[in-house]
Amino acid sequence: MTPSQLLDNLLSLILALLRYNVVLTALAIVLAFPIASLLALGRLSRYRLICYPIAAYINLLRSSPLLMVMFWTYYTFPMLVGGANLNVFYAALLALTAFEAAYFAEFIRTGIQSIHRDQRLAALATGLKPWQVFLYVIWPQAVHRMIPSLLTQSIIAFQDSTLASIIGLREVAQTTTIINSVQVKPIWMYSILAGLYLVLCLTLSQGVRRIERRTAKLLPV
Amino acid sequence: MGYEVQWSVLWDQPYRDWILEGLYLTIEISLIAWFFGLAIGILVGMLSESPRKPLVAVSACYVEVFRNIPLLVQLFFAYFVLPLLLPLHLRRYLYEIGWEWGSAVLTLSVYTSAKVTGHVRSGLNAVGHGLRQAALSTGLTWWQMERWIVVPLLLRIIVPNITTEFLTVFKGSSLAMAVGVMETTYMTQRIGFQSFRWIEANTVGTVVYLLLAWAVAILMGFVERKVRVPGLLQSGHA
Repeated sequence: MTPSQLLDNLLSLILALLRYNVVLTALAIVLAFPIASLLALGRLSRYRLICYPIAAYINLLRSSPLLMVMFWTYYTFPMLVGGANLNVFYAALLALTAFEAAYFAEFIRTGIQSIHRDQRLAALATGLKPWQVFLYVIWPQAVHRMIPSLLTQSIIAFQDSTLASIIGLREVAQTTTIINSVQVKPIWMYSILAGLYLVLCLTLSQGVRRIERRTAKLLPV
Repeated sequence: MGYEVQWSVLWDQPYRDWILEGLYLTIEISLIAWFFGLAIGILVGMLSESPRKPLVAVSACYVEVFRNIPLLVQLFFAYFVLPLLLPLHLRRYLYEIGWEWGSAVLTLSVYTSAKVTGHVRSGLNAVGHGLRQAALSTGLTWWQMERWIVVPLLLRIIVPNITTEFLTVFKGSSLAMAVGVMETTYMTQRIGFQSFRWIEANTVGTVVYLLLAWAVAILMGFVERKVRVPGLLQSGHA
């Protein structure tokens, strides 16, 4: 592979990565976070009618492979709503959002349960309404404690976004395969792909580790 | 609308056999990968106990490299690139025995082992310095301390993490379809395309993974209760 070809291919991969994987992951995380907060709250509800279905949803999503979830959103749901075709990007986004929401919800629930119950009682005693107690006192602390776990899960989501190539999204892994099928340089192409992900995710996870140390120090009593 | 769910479709041939073949491959790949992942992971993790600095670095790098590259990318690398690096006769041999299956098992084993290595490394921290010093002061040699004190305790400490990885390995095996291994997810898609019975096909695929997860949870829950270290607070795997 000539240097200019190498640069060309690298650029195509980076472009595909930015345009699909990064956008897909970012949107999925942003959408999944509020959903997950509600799920976590509902999961801890004392009403069985709320708590059980949510627990079922979380466990179902956490025990199925992401690929299976993508099959549901891409092949199956469109059939249920009258055969309309769902754009593959939105299908992948829907799957990744639903999937990550279940994982985030468990982290947020763990965070909520780690807050001492006296805090809730004290907040209620100051006259705050229950929803205010949750929104202003419990939830921010729960999220703060779980930030490292949530970020680590987000990095996994970024890695998992490559699975969208299997249902046909032209993201970075599929772009690699397409370029390779024309130029037939598998060693080069797959090394670039692996290297790209390694550098990005290594940087991100080192960043998370730094945040983790800081969070551990700041952990409120 | 007009879609009528017919579960009986799944019982018709060839779909019934496809489902069973897929299930068999999913279980086979996952169990082999889990076994090797565990074995390699514990060995590489133990390297970080070594007094030699380079070996400790190898163990740390191993975790970082395989954890930070997506499983699918690793699989493509193993499937498309690895045979090219081998001599011709070995490459032919690989293709003859079916490298789809081999690359899936290899990738999944290595990926799992990297995660296990990570757990072993933090487990070794949890064993603690005091216990090691106490062991040495009773007159045990370094090797005896590792063999009789550290490793048995370590294995019991990391059981909950190993449960999590066991669950992950089943989910990870679904990626093998990307290189053409006909496991459960592949068969789900095959039935879907063949019959356009997507709802039935996807339901049975999802249920298969759900049941496998349950089986693992029950089995490992039993193991966890058996080997729990008394007096040691164990973090669950919620």
